[in-house]
Amino acid sequence: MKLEPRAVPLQDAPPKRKVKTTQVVNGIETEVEIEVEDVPAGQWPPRASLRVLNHDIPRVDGPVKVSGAARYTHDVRVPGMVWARLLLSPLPRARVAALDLEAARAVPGVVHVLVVEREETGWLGQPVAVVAAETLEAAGDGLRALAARFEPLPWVVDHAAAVREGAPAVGRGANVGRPETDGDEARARAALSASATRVRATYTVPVQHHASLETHGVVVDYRGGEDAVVYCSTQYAQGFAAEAAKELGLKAGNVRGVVEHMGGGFGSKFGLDAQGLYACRIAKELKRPVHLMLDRRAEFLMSGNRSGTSMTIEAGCDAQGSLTGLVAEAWKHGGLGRGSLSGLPYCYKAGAHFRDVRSVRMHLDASRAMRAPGHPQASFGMESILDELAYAAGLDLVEIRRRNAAHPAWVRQLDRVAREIGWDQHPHRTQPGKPDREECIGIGFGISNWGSGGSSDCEAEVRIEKDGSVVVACAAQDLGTGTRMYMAAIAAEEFGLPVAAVTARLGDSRLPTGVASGGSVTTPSVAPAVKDACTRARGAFAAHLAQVLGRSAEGFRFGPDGVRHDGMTERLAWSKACGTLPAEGLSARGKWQESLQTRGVRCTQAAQVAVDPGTGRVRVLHMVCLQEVGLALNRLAVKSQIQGGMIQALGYALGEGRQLDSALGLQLNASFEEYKIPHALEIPRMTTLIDDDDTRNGVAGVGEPPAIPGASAIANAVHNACGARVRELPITPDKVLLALGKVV
Amino acid sequence: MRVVVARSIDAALAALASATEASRILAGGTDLCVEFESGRTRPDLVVEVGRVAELRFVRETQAGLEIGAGSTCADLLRSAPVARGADLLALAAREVGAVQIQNRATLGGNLVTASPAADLVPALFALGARVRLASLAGRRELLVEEFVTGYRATARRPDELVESVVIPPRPAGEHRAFHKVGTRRAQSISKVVVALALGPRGAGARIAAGSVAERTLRLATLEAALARGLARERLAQAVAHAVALDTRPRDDVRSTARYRRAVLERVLVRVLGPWLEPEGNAA
Amino acid sequence: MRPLRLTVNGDTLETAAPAHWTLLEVLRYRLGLTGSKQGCDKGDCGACTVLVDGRPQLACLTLAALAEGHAITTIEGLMPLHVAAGGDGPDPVQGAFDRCGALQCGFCQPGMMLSARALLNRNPCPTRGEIREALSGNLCRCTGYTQIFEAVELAVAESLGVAPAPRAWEEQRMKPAEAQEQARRAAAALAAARERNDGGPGARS
Repeated sequence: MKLEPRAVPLQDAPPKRKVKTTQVVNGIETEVEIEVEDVPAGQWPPRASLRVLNHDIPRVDGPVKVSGAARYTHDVRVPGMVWARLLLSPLPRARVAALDLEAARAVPGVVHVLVVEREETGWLGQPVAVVAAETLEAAGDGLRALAARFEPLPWVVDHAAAVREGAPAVGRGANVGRPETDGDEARARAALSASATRVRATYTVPVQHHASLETHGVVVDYRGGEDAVVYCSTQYAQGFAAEAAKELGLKAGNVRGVVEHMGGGFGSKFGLDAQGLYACRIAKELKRPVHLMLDRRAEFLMSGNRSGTSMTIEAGCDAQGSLTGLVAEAWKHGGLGRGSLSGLPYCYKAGAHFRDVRSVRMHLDASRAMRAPGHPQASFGMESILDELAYAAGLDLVEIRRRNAAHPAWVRQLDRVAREIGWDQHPHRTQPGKPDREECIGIGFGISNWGSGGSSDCEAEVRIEKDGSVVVACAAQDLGTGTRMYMAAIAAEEFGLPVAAVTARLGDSRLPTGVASGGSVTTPSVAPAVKDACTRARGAFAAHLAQVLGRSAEGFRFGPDGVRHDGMTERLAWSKACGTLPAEGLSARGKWQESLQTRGVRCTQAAQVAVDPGTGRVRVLHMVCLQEVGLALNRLAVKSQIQGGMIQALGYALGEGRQLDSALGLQLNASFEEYKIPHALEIPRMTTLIDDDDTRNGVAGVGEPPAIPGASAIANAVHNACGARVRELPITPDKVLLALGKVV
Repeated sequence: MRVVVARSIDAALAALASATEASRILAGGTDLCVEFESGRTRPDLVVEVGRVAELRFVRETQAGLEIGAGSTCADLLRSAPVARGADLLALAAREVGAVQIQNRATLGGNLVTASPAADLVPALFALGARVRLASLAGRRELLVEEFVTGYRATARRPDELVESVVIPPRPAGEHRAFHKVGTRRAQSISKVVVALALGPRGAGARIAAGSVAERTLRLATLEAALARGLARERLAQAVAHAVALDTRPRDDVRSTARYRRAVLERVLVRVLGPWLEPEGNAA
Repeated sequence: MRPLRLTVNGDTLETAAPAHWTLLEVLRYRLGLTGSKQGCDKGDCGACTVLVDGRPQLACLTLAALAEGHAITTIEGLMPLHVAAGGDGPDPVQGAFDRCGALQCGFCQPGMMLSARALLNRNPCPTRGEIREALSGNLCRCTGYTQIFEAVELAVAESLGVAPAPRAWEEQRMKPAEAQEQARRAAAALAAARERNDGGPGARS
């Protein structure tokens, strides 16, 4: 067959219309108005017909990762590179009394000393100076040669000190922010007075750290001239590149952001950050590439965190257990930032409610988005008060949840989860157990949700080459959740190919517009765009084949057995069909489509624990999770995400929390030695269930909901086991004994 | 910083002859490498003994079981003689870090660092171990309680090397127990650690505790009560008395003083209870 | 500076580094072997785990000079050494980690897999408890560990030639009776193999 090479044009841009939607920007849910193309809505194939998606698919980047060849930012080495290290303020607030720049510059190998704060520091861990040198070793020597001296100035690093009359001011403005209120206070209080049972308690959650295994950092490859490449451990390659371009004084398009692989972010890695800024400044000054990675201590002190919260909640219910009223007064602890706390009541209906939330500022780094910002804190308050209410009224802990859940999906999930954890056989369903044996067993529950919509700006490109190979591309980055893999899997599904036949390219700012990967937006942004690109590519391919074969374009089908046409009996192998393409192959660009995503992911969890009332030690024995996921692209990766979230919540429940010495102004646990994230011996039996009763055929992000209710469920289980109500996370053994009245 | 790689005890002792208070001996490196990294330590002299084969042995002698100071925790875990004669040491070695640390951390290092939260040291206390030290000036032997003198402080002179520890033979009918309460199993520094040995009717009791004072210590008050034939019914009271008198716990990042006291009491009662006679039977 | 002669993944490499440098620093900043990850620099995270004479050690707490004269295996060497020993393709541990989805960001995996390899070398059919113990020095923030345990169990099952116990991510699709039967068969095969090994010479050291 002979063929005239022919360019395949993209369709003309279709008309647009405006719609209102909830979007997540850098991990925070926001209501926005967006423009969408007025095109026929795309649809995923029916689930039963899926050949690749909704199955267990090994990752396309698995081999490169297990072989150790995957290159992370920390591993990037470029010729002529200098190594930079940061000097941090060792105190929350201090005068910079001495900094021996000459001595640092005199250290052999030191090429640049950048002072970023000469006068006064305003938070613990604030960068003061950066030393760049030919070797990492020399940069460290340079830091020591600075012989920095700091004179303490009055600071506040805890709630009580920050709100005290005459407390040292944190920046400009009052230390306590303006109240954010919601609901009708008079009605809520009246409802509380009229309720059959009411309880009131104060719950506290500490600042939690993201604790990504790879720290923040960047390699800025700039050698003078008009262009640069920035290698960055980031959740937003395009945003990072744009910010870096500004700092380098280059045109936005001339700086390429690359993130081949990155070692976790969990919401802490959206921006250029201080280290990115300084690396750019030094690169610009020296016209040499700069490698600047935070060490673990700096990671703990200056790379953001989940804000802490203290909340006093009063709730009441009627005789049947329906919530009649809820009043919450809460303070957020986000350092220099505002912190975040989701609405209360959280996931439950509560008759009348009122809340008053204020942020309390301190001389500490600003909190950032962290996996479902604000939700775990609200969940801990809500699920705890619900249990306390149930016990006070003598109600079944599952029944009170079924009755008050704000969506029927949770009712169905609660029934299943209760069955999996063995609730019916559990002896303590309306009253907690007693601390009368060495191993007291308890069960607790929690529910959560997350909006999880995609970004309308997201685009993707599909190229089909003459040799039959397929490349899918999008600038979004793979944080490890499996973005690369499902991009390839979607194309494989659409063209009837094995996953291995498709190459996915991502993590490069020059590729089609991606999205900032946070708040579970990556999948509902990228997957629709890739699917749309594939649909368009199939259309263009069909139009081309129609010309070549003299058939109608509508009749072509792409499947695992090749390309066929409704009017033909024989099939055309994929490679043969591609062979008819012009030399430059075929490409199509796709855009995000609302119809391909779904929003609102609900999750229910239960935890079973064993408490030793002698030592206060808590062991989690079993965790169950049932979660909606919309259309699962890869069940294997979805389950891994869910389990990872559950275990982060286990850490929040039992071990994690920033510890500060208020008098000395130190963080006591700025290392993995003292800041305990869960390890292999703490992992319970895990029952991880995808809620297949959720038949919505759109994709959703799944990463946030599983990280929310686990800590609440574990805390409730500890109380259910032996009557130790610990109202402050983490639940350390000493707090358990204190709650049992066994230490004084 | 001068670094001497010693391949023999003699070479190490020769290098140590010029050592000062600021000098350090490096065996497994699990403590010292951390200090290098943080820039906290820049010793004038480092003597590496990690490859001195003569320091890595376990042998049964007349005086008891002699264990080379260079033996790693993994060596202790795998040694049949240790399992027989110094079981507490094997139990303690299992609690040191995780596998990777156990493969490097040495008996001598744990002893010389003398952290109040050390895992092996209370076991050595309960076993009545003696520490053998060598220098060019000669050899000497100290009881482990005399060797550990304070917070990260020992009786070792800068020119001395800990060669080995000797565990006396196990007396007939001696009960032994090791119990660590950490934040969790593995990779966790202790909140409270207890190692104890107890003869029939409380004779010869050695009750050691870590993380409840600035150094590992023995609960002398409790040992005395046990030696007097403490009855099971009076155990809780005697333990509370001894803990109040003998320990000096502090609040720190890992726990609170009151928690340490409470849990030390509870662990001692739990462990000792089954071995004591009820009131009528007691001596 | 001090000259160093290290045997890494079967190759003898010569370099020089400051006397107090750790093996991790030499691997990453002298030898270009960046597969061993730098996560904490003080022995807390396990991302830098390497094998020294087959035993897992933390490269960040091992003075480079003390590694001289020992056989060092890094993640880069796992597949070549497996092939050199007559194997085909990646080490079975690597294959199992890949197929079980036992990784997300992948930063902890090199250390995790070397710990697993060391375990299987000294104990070819470990229990779940022994697997947990062996991996307890390696932190992972992404996966929740369960699929990692399952990957090690898959490598074990495959070496014994039996079907592995149903993985947590498969159970949902199986009939309960079927899942129980498969779990029972896997456990029996494991127990039988363990019995054989315990009797055999050098099964455990």
